[in-house]
Amino acid sequence: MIICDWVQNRILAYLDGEIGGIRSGVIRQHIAGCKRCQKAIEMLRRAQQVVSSALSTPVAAPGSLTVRVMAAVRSLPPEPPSGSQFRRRE
Amino acid sequence: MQSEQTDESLAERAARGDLPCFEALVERYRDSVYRICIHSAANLSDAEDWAQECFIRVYRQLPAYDCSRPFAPWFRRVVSNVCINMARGRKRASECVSLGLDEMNEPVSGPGTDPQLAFLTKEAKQAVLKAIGHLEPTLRQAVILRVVEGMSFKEMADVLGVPLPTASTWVRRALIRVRQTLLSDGMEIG
Repeated sequence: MIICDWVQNRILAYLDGEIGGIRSGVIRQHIAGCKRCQKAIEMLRRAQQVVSSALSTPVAAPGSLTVRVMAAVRSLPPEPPSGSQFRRRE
Repeated sequence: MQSEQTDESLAERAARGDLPCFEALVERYRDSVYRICIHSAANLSDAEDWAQECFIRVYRQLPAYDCSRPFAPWFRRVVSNVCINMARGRKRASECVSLGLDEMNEPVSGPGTDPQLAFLTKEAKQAVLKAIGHLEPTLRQAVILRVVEGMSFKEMADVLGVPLPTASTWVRRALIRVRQTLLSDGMEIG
């Protein structure tokens, strides 16, 4: 159970190939022999598909957004940003 | 020409008060920020206000930006923090799911939905969006960065300021909670 929790907390990153080295091997080996984690993977894949479908509508910002933002920025009180605080690594 | 400058160069000049350079950054990132805000607010009517707040916060924090580092992760970190804090600041969870979700399901613009992903009915999408809207702010932000912005877990970890396994765990928890909510509402998602 403890290993299942450890594996499942990393499972999405593992499936994306973002877990490397020894950990990747441990996860692969565990999944191969664990029906509970195999089932969890299927459930997460399906849930991710459903969420992706719901969030997949393309969205563009309204044309007025830039105008609104710039008007708000221009109306800010005169304080930094100023060059004096700007950090640059040499 | 601002359009030819890198984000980092624009940010450096904007930090010194060059507003046309900041405006160029707003133009570059407005759709991305608005997308994040729509799903963070789960409410179309609030999204523009949230997006404006994000850009103002970025502008105010530009003096702290280190231009030797990539601008985008720093920018998204500020935006995510604003969205998480604004979501936390709401008085009631129910406020996050209100008017506008119908409109959100219609393409506002763009090339159209990916047909492979567009298998949910409109009602089902509403239910999923509502479930996402009821997630706690950090989990909601994690799922938005992952699914809407298509970030890797490494990128998410950088933006959210957490270790990679935590980013993976947050998305997993978010998906499990969305699934549980949908099942308890009687929706079969397999």
